[in-house]
Amino acid sequence: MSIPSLLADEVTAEIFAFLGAVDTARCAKTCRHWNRVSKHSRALWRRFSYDDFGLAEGSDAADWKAVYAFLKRQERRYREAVDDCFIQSRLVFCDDGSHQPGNNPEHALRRGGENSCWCTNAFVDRDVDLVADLGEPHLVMAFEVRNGGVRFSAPVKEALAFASLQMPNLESASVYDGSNGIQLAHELMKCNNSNNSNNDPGSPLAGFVFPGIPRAFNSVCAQPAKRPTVARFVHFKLLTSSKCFNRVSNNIDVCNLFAFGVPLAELNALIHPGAATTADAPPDPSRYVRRHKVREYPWHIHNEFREEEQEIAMQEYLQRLRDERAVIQRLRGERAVRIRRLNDLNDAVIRGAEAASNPQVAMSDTEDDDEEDDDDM
Amino acid sequence: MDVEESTINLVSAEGDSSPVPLSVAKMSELVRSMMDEEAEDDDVKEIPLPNVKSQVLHKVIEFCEHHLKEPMTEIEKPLKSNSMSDVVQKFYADFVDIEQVLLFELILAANYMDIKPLLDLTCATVASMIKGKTPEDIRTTFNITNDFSPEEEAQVREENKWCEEA
Repeated sequence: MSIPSLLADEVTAEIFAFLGAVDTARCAKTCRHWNRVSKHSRALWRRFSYDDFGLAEGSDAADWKAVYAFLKRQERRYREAVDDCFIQSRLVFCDDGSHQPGNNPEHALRRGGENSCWCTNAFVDRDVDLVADLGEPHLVMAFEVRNGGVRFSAPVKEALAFASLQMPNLESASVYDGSNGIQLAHELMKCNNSNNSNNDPGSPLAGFVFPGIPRAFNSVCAQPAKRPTVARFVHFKLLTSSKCFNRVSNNIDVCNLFAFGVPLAELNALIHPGAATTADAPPDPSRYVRRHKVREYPWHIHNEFREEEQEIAMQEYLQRLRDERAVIQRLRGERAVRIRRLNDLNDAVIRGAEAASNPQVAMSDTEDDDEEDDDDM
Repeated sequence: MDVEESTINLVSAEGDSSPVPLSVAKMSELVRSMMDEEAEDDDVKEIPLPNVKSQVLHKVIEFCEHHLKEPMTEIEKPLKSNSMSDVVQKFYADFVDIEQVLLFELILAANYMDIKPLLDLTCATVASMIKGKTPEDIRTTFNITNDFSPEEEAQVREENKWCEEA
């Protein structure tokens, strides 16, 4: 009899827990005893499903080894897929303080809109959350964030992506706001998909860091999720945007916020065996608290800077200058004439006044003259 | 350490009695609960451990004594390395660098005496010996006989097919 067969099942399961799923499956192939332990330890496979796929939900009655094997097969299906496994998503909530009219958040979620963006309101330029519904559980494998072209003056600089089976808790995700999130985004970019020890279900799965302007325009950042994750919702957090100093650039503009993966239609039946699968209720965004106040978009700030209007504005401005110059010249001319007249008038008035108020002086002058004349004589 | 700390005798399967400071002995949940039960009786100074051999008991005491001075780093699941020295401090890595038979006896003792960190360390050590090996290599390492019937083996292979496809 071999030594391992002397160990109690729960101790063997403890060894398997240190091994992870793949090595445990290999152990199951060695002998009856280990196969039995592997097969019957639901808690073990539940743990592996959580560690490797972020699956935190499900009933105790589920055959967790089958669930794990199913998820592993789906992961493989994704890796071998011919298409890129884009997941269609619907907007649930976005905290943009009301978007710029015409640049709706839905633009960022749909494919084929490379010329359209989602633009947040003016002065909403950090920590903007967007939650999208994938419709049914998916194995989310990767994300993509894309910036718009040069006419979108505030391209994303740093962003984070999350995924969850339940509606994401934005309040607890707010710990990733600001500098915490920025630091994490850089770390996730550097060691993408490596052994990131932070395996909390609420922690970000991918980070995105974009170059500055002008390279930010039209740039794409695609990242694998740090682990494949079972999720029905994706949550993007736009942390900051790059600023164009010669244009209005006080918000965040983003072209695409995409998730990639494979649908898991069979999952519900696997993790809730026997339970009737009811159509999932539509998500309720009303429980989310907005941090960016909804305001009307201040067009007056924006209008002068829109490119197509810039030329017209410039022409108008030049014309205005010309008109003004003409007016000034005309006024100058008129003023010159008026000033001359005024001066003449003034002279006349002064002469008249002097003459009227001081006739003696005038007289004596003549007398002096006379005297002089006399002296000369 | 408290100078006046009282000691307790742990008695091995062979009947050898080892005096151990209370704080060390109480790392074992088994010892702790036995002492709590008999808390009234201050004179209880002997805890019989009929399932633990002297050689193993000495190792267990060595572990507990060191753990009080330098607690072991918690070992992450799943294991990140095949070498225990990458995972725990040198003392602990050296501690489990022992014969397989003794290692498994330590597991049994840690489980019986309910000493969580020792159970973690020994189980992780066994795991480190398995990690990355093929089923055939695992059998060789632990001298496991393949007791599947051909039909069973085919079925098990089918059930665990996914793990080789990744």
